[in-house]
Amino acid sequence: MFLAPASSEPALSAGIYLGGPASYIEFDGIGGDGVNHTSLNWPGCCGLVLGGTAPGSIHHIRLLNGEFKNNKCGSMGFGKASDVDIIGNYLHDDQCNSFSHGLYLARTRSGS
Amino acid sequence: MQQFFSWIVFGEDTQRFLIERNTIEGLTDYGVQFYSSISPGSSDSIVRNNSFRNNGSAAFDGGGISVGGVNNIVYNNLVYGNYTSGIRIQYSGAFNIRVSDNKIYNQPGHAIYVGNAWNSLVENNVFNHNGLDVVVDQGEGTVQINNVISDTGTTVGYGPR
Repeated sequence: MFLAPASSEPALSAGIYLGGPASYIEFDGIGGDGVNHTSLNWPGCCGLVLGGTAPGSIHHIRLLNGEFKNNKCGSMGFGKASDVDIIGNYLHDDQCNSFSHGLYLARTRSGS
Repeated sequence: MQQFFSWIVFGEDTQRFLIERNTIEGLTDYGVQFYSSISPGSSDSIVRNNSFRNNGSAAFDGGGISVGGVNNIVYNNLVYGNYTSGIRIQYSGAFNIRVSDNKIYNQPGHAIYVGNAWNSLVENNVFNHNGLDVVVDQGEGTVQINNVISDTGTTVGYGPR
């Protein structure tokens, strides 16, 4: 099963997006397809995004056995999240005008 | 809704991730990137039993895995055919990183590159048919133990900074 957001608007079309407090969620067999997202500029689309609003606000998330393809500028990104399992997935063939990582665990200063 | 996949809001405080049994290929940069511009960065995470192949590109370099942060472990992965390095330990705050029991082969560049990192442990890895130096160590306090090398670059341990 693929989530393929129809919108090409940046950032609003993440395949799986958790932006507020969330915990104890398991996704099994759900992937993402960025085929409808045409822009190769940041922000990208369409994998998994976990973006907590405070440290620890997102925790105990499991992403299992999904395929993520045709994504733009990164398949997955995480911030303010903990205890996350990414197991048995297939990530391949992203495109981007800048770099495009598969999984990106980051801590960045605003504007850096 | 916040915007993501953006430098400005992209994350902090990522802890205790398990990245296991994934296949990651064909990305324009690293297959997995632990990046920190503030110390400490991502911490206490594990990357194991994955395959990283054909990541990176001429435009952005990149490779298999780039790991920074604190107390992160990378072991039992297959890493091959990526654009530059197989595994890089680097970026500010890279402390107490363990890279062990990985098989790294057919890398045009380095099998493992230790950049600005402290107290890294590189042990029990198997290197085969990589293009450049096997392990380039420009970190501080790096320990290399029992790595097996064949048919590959000529330098083991490039020397401390």
